[in-house]
Amino acid sequence: MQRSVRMKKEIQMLSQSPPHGISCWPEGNSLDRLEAQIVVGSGSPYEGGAFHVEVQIPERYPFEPPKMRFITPIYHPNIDSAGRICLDTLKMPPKGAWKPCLNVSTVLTSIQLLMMEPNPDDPLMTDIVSYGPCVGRIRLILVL
Amino acid sequence: MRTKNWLPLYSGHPSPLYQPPLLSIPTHLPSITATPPLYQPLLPSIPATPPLSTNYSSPLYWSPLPSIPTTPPLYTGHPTPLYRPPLPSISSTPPLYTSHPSPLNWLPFCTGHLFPLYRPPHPSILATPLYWPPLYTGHPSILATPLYWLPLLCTGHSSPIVCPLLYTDHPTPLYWPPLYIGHISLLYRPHFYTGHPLLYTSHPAPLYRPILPVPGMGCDVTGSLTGMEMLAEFPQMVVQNEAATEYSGYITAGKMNFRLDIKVPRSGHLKEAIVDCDWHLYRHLQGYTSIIKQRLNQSSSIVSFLRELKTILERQMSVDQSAASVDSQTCASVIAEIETVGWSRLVSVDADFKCIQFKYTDEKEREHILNIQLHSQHPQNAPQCVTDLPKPFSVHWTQSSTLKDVFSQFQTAVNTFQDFWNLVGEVDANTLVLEPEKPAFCAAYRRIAVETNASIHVTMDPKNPRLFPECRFLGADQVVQPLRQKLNSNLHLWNPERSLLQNLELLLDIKFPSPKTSEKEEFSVECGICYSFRLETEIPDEACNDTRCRQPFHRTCLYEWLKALPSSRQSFNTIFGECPYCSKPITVKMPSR
Repeated sequence: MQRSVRMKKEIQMLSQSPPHGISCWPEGNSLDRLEAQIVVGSGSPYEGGAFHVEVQIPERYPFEPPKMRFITPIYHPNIDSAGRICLDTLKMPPKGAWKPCLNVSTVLTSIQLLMMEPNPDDPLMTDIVSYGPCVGRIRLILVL
Repeated sequence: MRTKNWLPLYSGHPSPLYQPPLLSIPTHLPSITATPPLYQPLLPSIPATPPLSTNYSSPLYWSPLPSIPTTPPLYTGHPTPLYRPPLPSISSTPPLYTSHPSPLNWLPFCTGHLFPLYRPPHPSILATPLYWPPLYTGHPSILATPLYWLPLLCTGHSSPIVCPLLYTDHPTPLYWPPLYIGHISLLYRPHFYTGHPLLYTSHPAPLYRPILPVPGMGCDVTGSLTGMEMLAEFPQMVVQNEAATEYSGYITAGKMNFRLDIKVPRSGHLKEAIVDCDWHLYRHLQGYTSIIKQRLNQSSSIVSFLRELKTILERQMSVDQSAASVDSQTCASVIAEIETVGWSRLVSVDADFKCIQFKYTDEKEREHILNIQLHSQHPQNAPQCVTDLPKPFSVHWTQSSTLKDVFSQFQTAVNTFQDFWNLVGEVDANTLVLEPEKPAFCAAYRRIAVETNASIHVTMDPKNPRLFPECRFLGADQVVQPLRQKLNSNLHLWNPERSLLQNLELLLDIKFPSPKTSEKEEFSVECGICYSFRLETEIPDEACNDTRCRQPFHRTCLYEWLKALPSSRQSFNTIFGECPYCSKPITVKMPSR
């Protein structure tokens, strides 16, 4: 019940005032699957790329965090080859930091931030962390 | 020849030929019995309330009520100049000096004194601690026993409440005669008591001295302890009443003395205290009113508050001193340079004459701000300039350059971007720009809404604004893909003669949605969890108790969230947890359903 009410509002907010560099829209007519695109600003190795993210809204949303996954392959210590993201706001407390005051837009913003500032202390891809210093300046060539 | 001889109808008419229009004869003549209304003067209206004084000759007279003065006049007509104008309170009243020509307005307190402003230096008094000058003649008891109270002072009680009973055999011990009359050293208290000379003759309020608490007489011990502390730390603050809630005197900071009064209300809460000060102190503390209020809230006693006040004051005075060290010659040269640019173009100058802001209004009435930070060796080294131009602005500076050269360089730089701003301004005015929210002059990109969930991100080159910009589409593929294809196929239609908006609309073959005139404001505050006001029939009736948060929630939503958390605790039908917004404790009862 809360999910449908809230998602209608969130989709409206996302279309009217999307956060900087982020756009998000529903996939088809259903409210439980969204698609998002994240554009990372200058100063990041991912500069200029537009990354596709798949967003799934669980049945118990907003009491449970949304599920998000990168569709565009990304070379990042906290995102694995299947696109799964290691981010605390995507997990329930006590391990994670999801709260109903967050929403799809804020979580996408924190993913954008994670892309700009990788967190090598909590890696998902240990081999990338070891190459960490080299990754910084490589500009990734992506197929948009 | 006249056919009719109209006689003048009534004498006195200037033109005899004029005939007033004939009155139509009324068909119904008024009955002869109806008498014309007599002139009746307007009767005076009778006041609703009865007269106050019955013995008045005229009952209609209403005696004006005497206005009650809000405050009784202070000492009006007092013959002596002891009248003290009310001190400005720190919080609201203007400084005292506004109407007073001289800062010496405390002088009236010292009238009659030989040396009103003289303060006895400590060392000379300490050098002769045992010297006791002849006491003044006006007082019977002290005259009679001039050394009577000295032993009481130097006995050195072990108890901290060493309270000199100054003249016990005085007929009215509650009254302390004016201490300063013609005598300076009477106020001197021997150094072996506290090591400080405690009172000074130039004290403005020596006229009243309360009885000091006496050990074993049932006095307030804590009050007297504060009194002792105050004597030791702020010897120039004199207690004004028995309850030790009012102090008056001087506070010393940086070798300067400032007049200060503190009155704590009867409730004893320090935060309701009234602090008055002289204009010197007011000037130093002008920007610190809120900090002082905060300190007043936090302080446990008047002494600790005065300690805080002294710290603030000393810090501020050192800041003031360093600020005053701006070289007047440099200032004069900077002012002369500003004058060459023109005062009308000046926006602001800081107190140090280091940061200068100019504005330049271009032909389209756009105001551009130029921030100049002067170098410490100003005329030799180039100043730093911060502008709002889309490209970095660098100054060409030589030894002989002045601010006028900087400004003219800025003007030329601004004028090179005129075309860019014109094109961008058209876009801003006619489309829904999602990003940037409030476009600054430096922003060279626009994210324009195309339709719901689809937008185009256009990045232009400010130097060549009419060239084809970098375009990126954002949104769902089914919407964006056709647009992208259209853009690619129509690329050859781009015409630098047309404006950016016209080109985009032509290439994409769309009309951009124009800005909505107004968004419907929702006044009902939504639930912080489900983002709606009405959830079926429920409205948000639970709210965070924290005054800074006050986030409303539906009971159902909040209960469901707290229930899922391992950190919240349930007791019967109530859950204790944390507000999802501010993490402050929040409780919610189980919904009735």
